[in-house]
Amino acid sequence: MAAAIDEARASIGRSMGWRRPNPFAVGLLLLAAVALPLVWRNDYVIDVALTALIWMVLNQSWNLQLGIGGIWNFGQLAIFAIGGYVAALVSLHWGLPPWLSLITGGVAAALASAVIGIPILRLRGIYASLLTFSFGEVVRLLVISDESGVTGGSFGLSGIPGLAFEGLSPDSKQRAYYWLALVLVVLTAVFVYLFIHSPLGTALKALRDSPAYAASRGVSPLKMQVITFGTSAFIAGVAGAFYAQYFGVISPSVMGLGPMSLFVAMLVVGGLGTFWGPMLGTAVIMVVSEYLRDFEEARLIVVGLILLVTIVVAPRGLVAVLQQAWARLQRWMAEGGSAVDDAAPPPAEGAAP
Amino acid sequence: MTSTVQAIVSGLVTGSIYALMTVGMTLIYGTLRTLNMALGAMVLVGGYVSWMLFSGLGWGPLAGLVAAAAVTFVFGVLIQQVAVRPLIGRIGVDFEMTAFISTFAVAIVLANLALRIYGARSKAVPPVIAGRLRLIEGVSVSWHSLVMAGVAIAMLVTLGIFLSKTRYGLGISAVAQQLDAARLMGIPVQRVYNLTMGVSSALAGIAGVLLASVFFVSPNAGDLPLLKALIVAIFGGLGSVRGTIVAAYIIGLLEALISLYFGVKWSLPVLFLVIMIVMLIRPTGLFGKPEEARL
Amino acid sequence: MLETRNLHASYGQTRVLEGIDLSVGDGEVVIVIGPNGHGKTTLLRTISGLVAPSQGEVWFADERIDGARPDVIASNGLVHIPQGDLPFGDMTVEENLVLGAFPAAAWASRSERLKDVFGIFPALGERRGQRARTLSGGERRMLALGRGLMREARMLMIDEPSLGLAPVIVNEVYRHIERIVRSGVTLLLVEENLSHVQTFDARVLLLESGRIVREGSVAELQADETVMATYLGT
Repeated sequence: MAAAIDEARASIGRSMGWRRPNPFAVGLLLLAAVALPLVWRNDYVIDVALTALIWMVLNQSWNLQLGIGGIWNFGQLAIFAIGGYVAALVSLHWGLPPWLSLITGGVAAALASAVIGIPILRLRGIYASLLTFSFGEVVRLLVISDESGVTGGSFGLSGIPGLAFEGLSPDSKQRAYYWLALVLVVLTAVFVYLFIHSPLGTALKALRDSPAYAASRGVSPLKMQVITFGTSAFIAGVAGAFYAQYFGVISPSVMGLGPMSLFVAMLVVGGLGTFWGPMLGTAVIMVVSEYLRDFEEARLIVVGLILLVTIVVAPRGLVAVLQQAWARLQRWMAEGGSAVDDAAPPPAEGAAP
Repeated sequence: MTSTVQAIVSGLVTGSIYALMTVGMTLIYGTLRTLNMALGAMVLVGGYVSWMLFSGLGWGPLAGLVAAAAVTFVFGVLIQQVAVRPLIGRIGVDFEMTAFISTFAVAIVLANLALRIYGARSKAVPPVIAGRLRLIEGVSVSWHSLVMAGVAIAMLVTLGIFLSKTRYGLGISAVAQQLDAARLMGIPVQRVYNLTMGVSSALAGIAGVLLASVFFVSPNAGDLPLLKALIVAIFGGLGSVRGTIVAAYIIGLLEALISLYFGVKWSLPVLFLVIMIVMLIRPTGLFGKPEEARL
Repeated sequence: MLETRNLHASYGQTRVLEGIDLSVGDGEVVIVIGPNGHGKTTLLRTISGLVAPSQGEVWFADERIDGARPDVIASNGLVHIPQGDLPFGDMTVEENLVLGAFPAAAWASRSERLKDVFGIFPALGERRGQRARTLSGGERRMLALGRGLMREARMLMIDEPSLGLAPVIVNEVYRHIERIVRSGVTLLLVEENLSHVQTFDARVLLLESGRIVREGSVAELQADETVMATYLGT
């Protein structure tokens, strides 16, 4: 039985190459994203979109571990927060140029991830999730109970100078932040895309879908995972630093179960392990979340229910569902509108590891 | 000296509660091979049931104990049916990970429902017995703590008897150890899963009632117990019920002693450090078994 | 008692059973032999519901059981003693045996049955408190047989009882199986070849590549040199 499942999984893995996105569609999407703050001149909307962009970067980085690397890290928010805190501290106390603080935040996050990475990469999935989950909680509780003044305790740090967009009107400044966030999203996406199509990504996929096969082909799990873990943490740290610089504050409230539920929902609803999933999921959950912003308590109930329904009904997320629907539509059109053949659904892109 | 004894006493009390929480985790991991992240929410449900009975009907915590156990048992079965069962045996989907996330989703929904229904303010529940018992000069323990430890230990003993002596108790261990053989013996696996989820949830619910009068009941009352249960689980290794109980007491004692010598603030970080070191030496925890964890 | 009609089963893309028609009459002994990896174990696992058939029917005691849950099939009196024994390793010998009496009807009489099993296998009685994983290979096989005797069997299926045991132990195991056969039980036995079952008064089916390719008595197949050479390499 187990052998059969392994085999089925391996075959899914083989047919599961991340497809090449349509350049025309991507260009159009990008154009729309660039034009958004010029067309829709509404501070509030731009602010929400900007937040979504930051979350996209964070979610891509998390997806790299959780979805693509098969590393059960549930402490990524702590890594994100560490990036934010370090960036805030170096700009506040050392007067480091804010631009440099983005890099510093990333590097600090990568270093912090090494602390937790060393033990967890040796652990089997479930133990890794336990350890990272409690790592995140420990970091959060440490910050909250910190009375030394370094982190500002539960109030966090404020008055972070922000990136040097001096001389710009508040509107243009916001737009500048928006476009910079967009650049970060694109950079992350390109990186993730190249990463999963590189020999490294292929090896990682093999490792995730069929560890025995990968091992027989000489793939070293540890090296792969260290690289994935480190780069992912770096990206999350940069996202955290950008967050701190844009909002001017960073507090322990970015961590904890509430935010984590949002981010897990974004990843799962979009599709863990897929290229587009984290971006699509972030957009969907942000929109839902904005519709419910006047009902703060109902918000997480709804998000939790969406997460629950998605994982039970379509564990591979919206991207897989859409791709299946698209493939079916194409087949339907190819057959000249005759009956839809349900017997053999096409292998979907991306699967939860 | 007396403060050390005092710390050991309180460590044993908290250890009993941790054991109550984590044994459920071990049972579920043993049979279903996943974690139930909704166990923290069961602490919450247990706490609110006990508060409602107290504030609405004037019932004491002991009556609440029985009611909370029954309610959380039903919750556990529902969670199994709604969030876990649909994921079993799906090809191309990692059950361990998806069930982890789906139970996490249940926890989010329940905690925020509690927030919506009862508000953020903490609810107070009186102790089972008020007052303190003086053990020796300078060392005392509240009667409520004693009841807590007593109830927890009684529950663990009952669980032990249930697992080793009764038909369905043995069935749970059988499913955990050899699924195919269990099915060939005529053991209805789905019913065993329901039972396991129900019993684990009821144990967490009982922990919730006991903790209610110590920490009050609030929508995030389940977070810390869940975290502690996870820590005990990694430390102990989810391998056996007995190992989990031992691990719970070790963590309870360690925590009390660290709080005494380094201050409460450091109990979690130092604990975490200890666990990291344990994991470096034994990646499957203290009593975990290398390949497949078994009950 | 048992009948399969055009039974197919596969693991993922790999087809294992390709249309098995077999029937075992009341009180009959049927032995399925064939080379390893050709579907003998899958056949038993499909009959007892551990593997869902992709096509075909299984009838047991005039009831259609394909698609039924394994625990329902087992509780109906189809006792399957699996390949490799599959003991509950961390439980004691006694607990293992008691679990054999899990179905409600058997549970009530578990103490008497336990006594009977200890009578048949005294070695198990001596080790009743010992964990199953500490038993020797032969003892584990006895435990698996004993576990199967803990409830009322309308039919018994035993999967390669000689597997991995020293010849002396195999002889002992077969002495027990012969005793069970003499009690008149309906039996479907799987073995790799005929070497241990030559004294059986049984119908033999030769399973190869998921199909039954030859049928006859033990003596007939034994005498058929092409069969022995082609399929069993003896």
